Amino acid sequence: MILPVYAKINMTNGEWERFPISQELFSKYLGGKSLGARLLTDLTEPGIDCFAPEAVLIVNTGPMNGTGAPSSGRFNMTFKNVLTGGIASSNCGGTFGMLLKKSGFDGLIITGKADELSKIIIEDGDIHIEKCPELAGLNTEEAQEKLPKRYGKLVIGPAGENLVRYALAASGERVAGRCGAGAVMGSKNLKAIIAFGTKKVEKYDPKGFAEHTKKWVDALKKHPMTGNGLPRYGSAGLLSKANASSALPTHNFSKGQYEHAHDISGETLAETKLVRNSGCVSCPIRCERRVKVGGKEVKGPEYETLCLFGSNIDSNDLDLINAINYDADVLGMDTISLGGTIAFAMELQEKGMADFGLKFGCVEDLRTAISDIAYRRGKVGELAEGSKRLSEKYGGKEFAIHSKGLELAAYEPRRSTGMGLGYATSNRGGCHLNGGYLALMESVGVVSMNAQTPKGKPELTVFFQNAMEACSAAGFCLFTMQAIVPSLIFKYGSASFVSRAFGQALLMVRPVLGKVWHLMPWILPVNMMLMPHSKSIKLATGIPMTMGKFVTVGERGYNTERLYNLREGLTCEDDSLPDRLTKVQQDPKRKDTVVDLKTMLPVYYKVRGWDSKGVPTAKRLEKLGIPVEQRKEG
Amino acid sequence: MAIVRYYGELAAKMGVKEEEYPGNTVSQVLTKIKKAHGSDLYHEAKRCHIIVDHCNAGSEKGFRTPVEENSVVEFIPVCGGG
Repeated sequence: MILPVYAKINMTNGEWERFPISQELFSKYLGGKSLGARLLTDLTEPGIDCFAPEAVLIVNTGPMNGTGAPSSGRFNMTFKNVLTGGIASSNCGGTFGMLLKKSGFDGLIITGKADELSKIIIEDGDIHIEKCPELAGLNTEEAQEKLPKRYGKLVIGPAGENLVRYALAASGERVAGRCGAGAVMGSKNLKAIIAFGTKKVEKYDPKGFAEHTKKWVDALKKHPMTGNGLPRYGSAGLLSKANASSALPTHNFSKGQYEHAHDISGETLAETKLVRNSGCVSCPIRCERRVKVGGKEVKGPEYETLCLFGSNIDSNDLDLINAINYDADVLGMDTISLGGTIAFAMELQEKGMADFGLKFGCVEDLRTAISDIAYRRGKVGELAEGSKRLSEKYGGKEFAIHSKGLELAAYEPRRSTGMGLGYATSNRGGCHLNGGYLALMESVGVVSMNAQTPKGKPELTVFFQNAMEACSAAGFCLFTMQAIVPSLIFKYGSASFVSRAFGQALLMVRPVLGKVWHLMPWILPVNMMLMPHSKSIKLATGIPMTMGKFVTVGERGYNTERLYNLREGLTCEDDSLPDRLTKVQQDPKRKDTVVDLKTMLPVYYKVRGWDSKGVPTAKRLEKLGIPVEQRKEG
Repeated sequence: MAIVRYYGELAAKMGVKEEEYPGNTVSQVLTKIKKAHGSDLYHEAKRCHIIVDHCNAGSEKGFRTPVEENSVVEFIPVCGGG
């Protein structure tokens, strides 16, 4: 077995040392966010401030990075969440992860604080820190242009330097957007990390791995979602379906439909603005949109950005959304939290509670306001704190659309009630992906599942949260998970008996899904082509991985993150959503258009093996091999 | 008459984004589409997400989902994202 090697870097004194990962840790957590959560818990004292010098920032890969497995170019950043105070993990494509691995390191554990703005340079097994005053104040694009070409780069923009709570870190045009990774780098006076190396990424069974990879790539290319839907429209393709299903957040999540949705849809983007599509290293899906802003070809917006800077602020200006997407990336801010916070500020203005110069539908000066937020200039600069803190100062908690402090992604949970549960329980806060992403089956996907019923949703949420956690831990893109819906379902269509039966069956197997975690991993002692990730890991690393062990890695990671949250003071009270989503019916005629958390949460806790306060039981932790002494009452 | 809307590549193939057809169910509307646009596009429309008045037909009664006068029936090709 080839074990990962991390480097522990002290920004205060510039020293570093190798930090080997044991076989036990590697087998249990793989890498990425799961191993990140384990290390963050072990290497930090409870209660430290997210910006304290002793706070730890982990930048790591998973075992699949650099192997050539499909869509395996992702790397992860784990740290104390700047918005929630709990766990943070943020995931990013691009080339940095691969080049970090080729430099001889699978991950970095960064602590301390440099006395001046600095960069970390990693090359072929060696690391040093240099001052970089010449990069001060540069945006993410300018900073990367000033750095040597052959390196993989991870940089922050002005927002990171100014500790905007949702500042991102950028690698090329890809970003680790959520939770404030850029602000944590900024707090350490760390402007950039660059990595280069020539080390070959070894594989345990090269021949078997190559054969398996070829089959998997073929399957992804033939699948209707990963082979057609995503390459053709990117994630933006979801917008029309979300709107048609009343699941498109509009006017700060007060409605689920936008009358001008077509103007900002994936179809309109493809027909009028798309230059070409592109993709990450080793990815056959190629979902990235390329558009022009000011005559320059840049990365286009994802679905989330189209909604949160479109329908959610009552704007149908697609050119402006493209420009804002670019501005946010180069200034260094997450478009989900930025867009959500702006919509909240607009509603404060509408209700006469506070005025930041932002109004629904009035977007002429929005680019200036966004720049002011990045630099924390003027009153609008207060938006750099995020919607939770704004609501604590100005009121409006019932329509501040976040969970635990992290703004929600662009799925209206009152039309995807399982997604609502996912948002509420997600360890990093209001995230669709960390939340299990049931919206893809409930309201915007091909499976015809009752989007409103709370029945079966806790069981499915747990399954997909764990599976996606494992997928991320390994270094795979979560889009590979979308191909696990059998192609047969697509052949007959979402209104067909086959699709409806499949959706119904998923809800009906809840008694089995609810108990299956007690029987993992031995109940699934095989690898299946429907979810090829586990076999790929086995062939690449030599870990005797099965599907059961794979999802157990995810469950272990999820519980480790939960324990970190509890240790840092979060409780079951934080598994919540704003009143607008749990108490106000989206459709006044339909009682079921609210998120019924009261029904779903107790079932969710039970399925997870947690007590009634959402604390993992000692029995469950023992089974997962997580130190029981880290259990803390919520 | 129901208002029928096509999206994305389906709209391009149909050569129209919106038209009107009579019919009391999704199935009856699809039959009209078959007559107007042929068997291939009928099958392609059947494979889409079908939304009737903002409700997923698959979560209602499938192809037997009722369509009323002035209902909006939307055909959206499969997409992915996140």
